[in-house]
Amino acid sequence: MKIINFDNAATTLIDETIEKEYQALLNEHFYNPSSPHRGGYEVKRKIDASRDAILKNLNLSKNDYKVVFTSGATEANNLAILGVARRYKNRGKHLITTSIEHPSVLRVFYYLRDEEGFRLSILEPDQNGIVSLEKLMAAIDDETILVSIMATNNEVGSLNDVEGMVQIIRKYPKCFFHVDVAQAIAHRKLNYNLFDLFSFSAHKINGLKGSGALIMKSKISLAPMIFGGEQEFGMRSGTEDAEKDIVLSSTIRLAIDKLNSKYAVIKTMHDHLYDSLVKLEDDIIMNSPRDGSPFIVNFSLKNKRASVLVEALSNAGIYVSTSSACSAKLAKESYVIKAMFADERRAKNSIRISLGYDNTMDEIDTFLNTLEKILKEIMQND
Amino acid sequence: MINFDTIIIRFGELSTKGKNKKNFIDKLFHNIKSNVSDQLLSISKTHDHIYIGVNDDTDKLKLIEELKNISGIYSFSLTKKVKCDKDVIIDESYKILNEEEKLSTFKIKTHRIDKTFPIHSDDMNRLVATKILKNTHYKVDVHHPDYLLCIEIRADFAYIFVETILGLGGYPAQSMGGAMMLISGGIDSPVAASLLLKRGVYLEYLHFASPPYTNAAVIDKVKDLLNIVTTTQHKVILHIVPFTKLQEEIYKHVDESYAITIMRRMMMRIACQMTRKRHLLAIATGESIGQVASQTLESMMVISKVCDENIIRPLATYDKNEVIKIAKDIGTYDISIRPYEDCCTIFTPRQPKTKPHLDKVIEFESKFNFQALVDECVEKVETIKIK
Repeated sequence: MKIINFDNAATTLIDETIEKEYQALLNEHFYNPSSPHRGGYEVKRKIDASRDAILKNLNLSKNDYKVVFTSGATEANNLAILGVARRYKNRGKHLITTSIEHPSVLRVFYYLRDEEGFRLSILEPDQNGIVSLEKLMAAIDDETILVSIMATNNEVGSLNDVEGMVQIIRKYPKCFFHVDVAQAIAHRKLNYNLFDLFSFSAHKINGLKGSGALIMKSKISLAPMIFGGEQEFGMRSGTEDAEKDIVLSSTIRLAIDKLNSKYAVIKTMHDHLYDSLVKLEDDIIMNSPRDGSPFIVNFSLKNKRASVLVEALSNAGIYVSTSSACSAKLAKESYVIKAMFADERRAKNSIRISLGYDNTMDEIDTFLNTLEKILKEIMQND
Repeated sequence: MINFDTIIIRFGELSTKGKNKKNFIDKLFHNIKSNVSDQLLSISKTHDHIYIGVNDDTDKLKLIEELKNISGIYSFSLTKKVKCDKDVIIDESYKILNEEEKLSTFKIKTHRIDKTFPIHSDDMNRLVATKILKNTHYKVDVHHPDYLLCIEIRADFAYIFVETILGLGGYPAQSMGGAMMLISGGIDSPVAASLLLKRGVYLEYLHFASPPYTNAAVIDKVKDLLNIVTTTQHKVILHIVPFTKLQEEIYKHVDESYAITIMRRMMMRIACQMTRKRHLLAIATGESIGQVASQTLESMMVISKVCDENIIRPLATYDKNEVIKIAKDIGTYDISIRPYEDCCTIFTPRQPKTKPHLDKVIEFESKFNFQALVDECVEKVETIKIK
């Protein structure tokens, strides 16, 4: 059975060229870049070249920015937030974020509030999943040292106006702006020169798992989370995963290429999908805004259980994601949907379709046909 | 710990079986041989006991754990086998006791099973005790000794041991006929299964699946449970019934309050057909009187009426916390509480009937051709060999 993968926001298939490049590096350039011999020097050169290439692909100057390689966006988010908060807390102890950030951002903020005495402002989204500039303006003050807001929400695909937010934050020179771009880096054109720090994972963009980066302005120094050999400018110790760090530059390059060349195709697929789903108004209510990220479409089932639909789709070879657990006992609800609509049932029965550059229009149509068939068959269930 | 070289295995209820006793012993003998790791030196049987010989290389603790899990064993003792010679027995007994450190009082208990041995049990006790009293500082205490040394004198050898370990009890596996166990993945059915297995019943397992309402992970859960419960069984067969269509039809035609009762009746019909098909002698369930609406006596009566197979309910009189305790002891609890729905829990009617009326049930059932759907379920059963 051919699998249709509509769960790309969770993770993606590795690109073949990346895989080959990685394999070649594993066999040849595996040395420790800190080692004092040619093997080590070569690897160090390649890592540095990768840093430069990544910045170049994102239109950043290596004089202004530096790349800190991490194990992924979660670690990068943690490092950014803990790193800024702890390093700059003498300047102020107020932090701002939103209620629909990824857990690897939100939980760090809660930790800082509960354990390290920081004051938080948590901005709520509107029903389009967007946090308004007005709300940010109302919350920010002279004590604020960090604002962390995601560019694209991973559950509903809503797009925050992070570039617009920069204007507001610039008025507070003590304040740093961190942007989680995990779902945006291959999916949305952004001017990275505007951000102080931003983070992403390779495995969301057809790269390797356990690989990612925190890119930040050169002048920033962070309190490290991990101590040791002082790698990554003293900010992230540990022998470099040279092979992963080196292929990250190809991963980014491929991602930007696809963004430039194939975005329009995805947009067409998205619009067709979105508009077709809207027609199923007896069963479905849309959670994503129509003009959100074309890579993510989120909807809830009105009177059937999302977990049953997801299971049926899985049995039919179509992979999507959900917030509802396959069990009433867990009854996990999406805190993102809850924050947007304050509707518990809607939050417990949401389904996310997330596209990748390999998906096709045929797959969208197959999905829609299968969806309709399944919706007719499964029984109502509260 | 005594440096034992022989294990004596005793049967409890088996010894009351008369003619069948030999069969049971043979079965138990076979089960022990195939379940205990290959490290035994020897195994032999008489009409009273089974003897296992071990040596220094044997992993004794592992062996003890394995024996504790074999049904049909009433108790067993770790013994040192010695010549049936008075002086040898005295010396060995002394040696064993002398090696123990943390005691101050002891008692000797001799059992002269072979009456041709020249010395009476009492005399033997005295002889051994005397040697010990003379050579150590230990004292005799006949009421609450720190250390009880037992000596069994048989025709060929004498066996010295200190403790008797209780076994699982019950009957040897597969010595009592077979039954079809309904297994849902919840806490109760695996416990019911383990009780039946202990009693020597051969079980095949029947699980009702309703995809996509139930999730593929439940099947894995059932398999994991079976792996734990059947550690000493060699043949484990799981039948999975595709129940979705029938379940949907029930909910279409039957009033919500009767849906569970009728669903259970359909399950019982399917179970009956499967039991007959597999030449088994009974159906077994994890039901407990009054635990849920479908398990009141009234409900059980209405549900049982669909067929005349023998239905065994090992947990009928158990409280939930008693069942949970057993589940934790046998290691199924943590698996059972994995939060995947089975078809008993996916549609929970608001007020299921605790005292269903048979005539209402029959009226509902007459509204759709359930027999064809039941037959279809049986036809499409997927049978998997877990072992």
